[in-house]
Amino acid sequence: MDATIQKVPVSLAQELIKIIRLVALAGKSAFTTYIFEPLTKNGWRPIHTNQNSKKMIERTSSESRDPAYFHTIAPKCKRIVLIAMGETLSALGDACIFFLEMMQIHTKISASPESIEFVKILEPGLRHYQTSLSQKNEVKFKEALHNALSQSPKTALEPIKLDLYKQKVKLDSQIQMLYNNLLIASRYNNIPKARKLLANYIISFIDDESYARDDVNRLIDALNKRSEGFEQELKNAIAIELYYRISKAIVAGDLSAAIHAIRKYAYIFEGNPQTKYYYEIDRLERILYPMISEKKLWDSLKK
Amino acid sequence: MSNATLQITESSKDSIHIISLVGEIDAKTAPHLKQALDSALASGKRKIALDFTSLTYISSAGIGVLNAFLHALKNSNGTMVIANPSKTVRDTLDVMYFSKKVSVYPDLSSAINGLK
Repeated sequence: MDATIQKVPVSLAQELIKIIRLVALAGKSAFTTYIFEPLTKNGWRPIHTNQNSKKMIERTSSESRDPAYFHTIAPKCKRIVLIAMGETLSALGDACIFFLEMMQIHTKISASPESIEFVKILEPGLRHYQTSLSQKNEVKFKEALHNALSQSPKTALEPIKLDLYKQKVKLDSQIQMLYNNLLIASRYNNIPKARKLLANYIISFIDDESYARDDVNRLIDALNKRSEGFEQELKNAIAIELYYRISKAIVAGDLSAAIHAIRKYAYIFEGNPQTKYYYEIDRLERILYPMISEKKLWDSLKK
Repeated sequence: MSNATLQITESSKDSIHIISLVGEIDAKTAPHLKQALDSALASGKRKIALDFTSLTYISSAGIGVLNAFLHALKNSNGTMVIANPSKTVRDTLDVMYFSKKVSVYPDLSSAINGLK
């Protein structure tokens, strides 16, 4: 993040949440190194109190719906993080993610000194972790993939078979529900919610025949007029989510899920080099495809 | 960025525009492909055969470019086919579900016949 930055951008908050989730998957040691230690080294010390971070999250979450409380949210989030540091690593992870989610609600929260300080502390380490996962440490990455596939390739690739008709009906009703919620959020000018729902809708249904491409484009145009930069933030949110899914799937050796997310990325962004993670995903594919050939898994993945 | 290269040559046969690709399509070379496809469409070509005989690799960036082109081509009442992909390229087209969207032929002459 730029040292002189005035607020935490929505896409950065979203991205850090995904990296925190990946660090959590890597285990306690990585979580201590990349989350707990940077905080303590920068003076964020655990507070031991009778208060419980989970309950504070619930209360702060409901307060965040009232704009009158916006200026109080970031200091409360900092306190939640400090209390969670004195509880468990899981509580700390939840508190960090909650703080980053709150930053996406309003500029008063994302531009607060606490938000900017929090992100400045965590971002360098998390970026380092991300880089080691996807770029510099490709050999280790290959080994992890190889090991994961050696352990349970059949389970990882086992297709989930459902009755096709029921599946179709379920999908149609999900599309309808998601689309209705999206229209409601858009009507009430709830931009963060509309962005989240729209990202979910596009990711879920881009490769479904009932995907309402023209309606989606009209909605994006309308929301872009109401909130400048909406489309770019939406694209960033989708790219971050898909990259997270790909990374998570590869670490878990779930090639089917990795391919699924890569396919969605391809159809949504259509080879646009300006898209976030464009080159990172390309590098992952260079590792993935030879591995799939070596293990003779192409046919299983086509199902 | 990768060291991939992509050579694109274009020719015509029986009103069919043939685009032959030599090399690899990845994040680095996909924009060159997009440029060639967009200019073919802009110059009025509506029946396109992509000759994949000497294409050794395609990544999702390339599939994305092909999908955008297919969409634009269909909107202009055009059609596109793929000829003679290698096994690796064909496998990638299959897992990306792109071979469900376009016809894939084992050689260029049958691809051209398929477009007539």
